[in-house]
Amino acid sequence: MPSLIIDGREIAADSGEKILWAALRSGIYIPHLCATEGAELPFGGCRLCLVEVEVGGRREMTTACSEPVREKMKIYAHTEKIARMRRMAFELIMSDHHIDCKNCAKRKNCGLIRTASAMNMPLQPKTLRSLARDLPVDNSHPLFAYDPRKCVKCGKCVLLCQGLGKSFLDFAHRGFEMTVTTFDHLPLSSIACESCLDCVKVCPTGALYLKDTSKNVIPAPYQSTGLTSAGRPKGGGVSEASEHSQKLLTSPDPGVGGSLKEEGGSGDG
Amino acid sequence: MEESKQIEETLGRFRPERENLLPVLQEIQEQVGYVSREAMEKVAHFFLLPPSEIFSIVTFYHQFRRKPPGRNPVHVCLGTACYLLGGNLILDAFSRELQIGRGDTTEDRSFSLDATACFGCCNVAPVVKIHSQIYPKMSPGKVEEVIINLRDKDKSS
Ligand code: SF4
Ligand code: SF4
Ligand code: FES
Repeated sequence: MPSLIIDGREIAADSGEKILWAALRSGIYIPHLCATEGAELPFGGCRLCLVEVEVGGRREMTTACSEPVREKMKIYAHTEKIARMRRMAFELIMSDHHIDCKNCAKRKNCGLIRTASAMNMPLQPKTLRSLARDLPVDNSHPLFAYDPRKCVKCGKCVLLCQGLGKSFLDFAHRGFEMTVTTFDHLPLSSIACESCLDCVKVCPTGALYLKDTSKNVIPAPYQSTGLTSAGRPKGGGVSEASEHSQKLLTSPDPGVGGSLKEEGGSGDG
Repeated sequence: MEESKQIEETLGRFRPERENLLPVLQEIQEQVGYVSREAMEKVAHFFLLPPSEIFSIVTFYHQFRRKPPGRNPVHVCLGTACYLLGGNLILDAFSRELQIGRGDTTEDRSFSLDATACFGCCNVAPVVKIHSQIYPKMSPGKVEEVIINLRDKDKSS
């Protein structure tokens, strides 16, 4: 079992695992938004997990979610330079985020609020002006909705849906115009989504959220029509999916694990 | 030839291997003029890839259009020389006048707007190409006139 040294502290790690997860397990908090544990190809898009690694006496910047641990590697996770870069990364993320916590379904369990409080930063960028885009909310699905104005393009839902062999969500367009969306921007109700609602769980923001169905009767097992994912078997029955969604809907705290106060530890999964 | 037939005929000439994905999409655009929803679905099916991935690729490259070209396809050059002399301002002017963005087609299908790379007429930059005609030394002020003339021609033909 290799061990590595983060900020002068020696910690144990599993061989081949990425720095980020070893650090978090040992109680060293490194901010992160886009990382999925066990992902083969880390997305590395949020740039919040930047650390410095000592290589041949020099320090190099790298993202902790993508760099595998090596025996006795020396990592600096909390330097002045790192703090500056992370703050900038977070401001960039927030600069096109539609900040509206009061009306946000994830306000009690938001990865952005958690990150902001851990980094001791406000949600509103101080040095950048807001470039939030006016994009339409997809409200078509009976159980969940998608508000692209809150999406931080972390890619977690894309990776997850892909892992389930469905790939209903993907990135589209590029640069500032990039969005996470369905095939040809089709409404969520018209694709063959089986309502497993796992994307809602992994989404760290209020972009993918459960609709408030508590006042209504929970809709009958949702059966979709229309497009199927080409060439892929339609796994998972509808009844199984709806059972799963009932559980999600009735649990007191749907969405990612952990609470606002929890700043380190297991992270936001 | 009808669009579906053209797509199928194109797919028939390739093997469903990933390295053929971009050539297939380019060939469809060449044959049909654009990559429609139907085309993306057929390509996805052919390569056994999720349609969302095809959409991701088609929207990533500006060379693919998802709407049929207009009767007057406007190509604004954004090559180095044209760009330096304000090609993007010409593009903006067309976009404003026609009320469409880059890669888009007007409701009545009379105009479409695209940006392209160098035509090789840098000496008269910035240039715009519509059909095979080159409009040299363009300025935002000339854009309206170009559009009106083409609209008139459309009406009389
Ligand atoms: S996603 Fe988080 S930061 Fe954004 S509006 Fe919702 S609660 Fe606020
Ligand atoms: S919808 Fe949520 S999970 Fe998906 S990319 Fe956007 S922020 Fe990430
Ligand atoms: S968590 Fe490493 S770049 Fe986002």
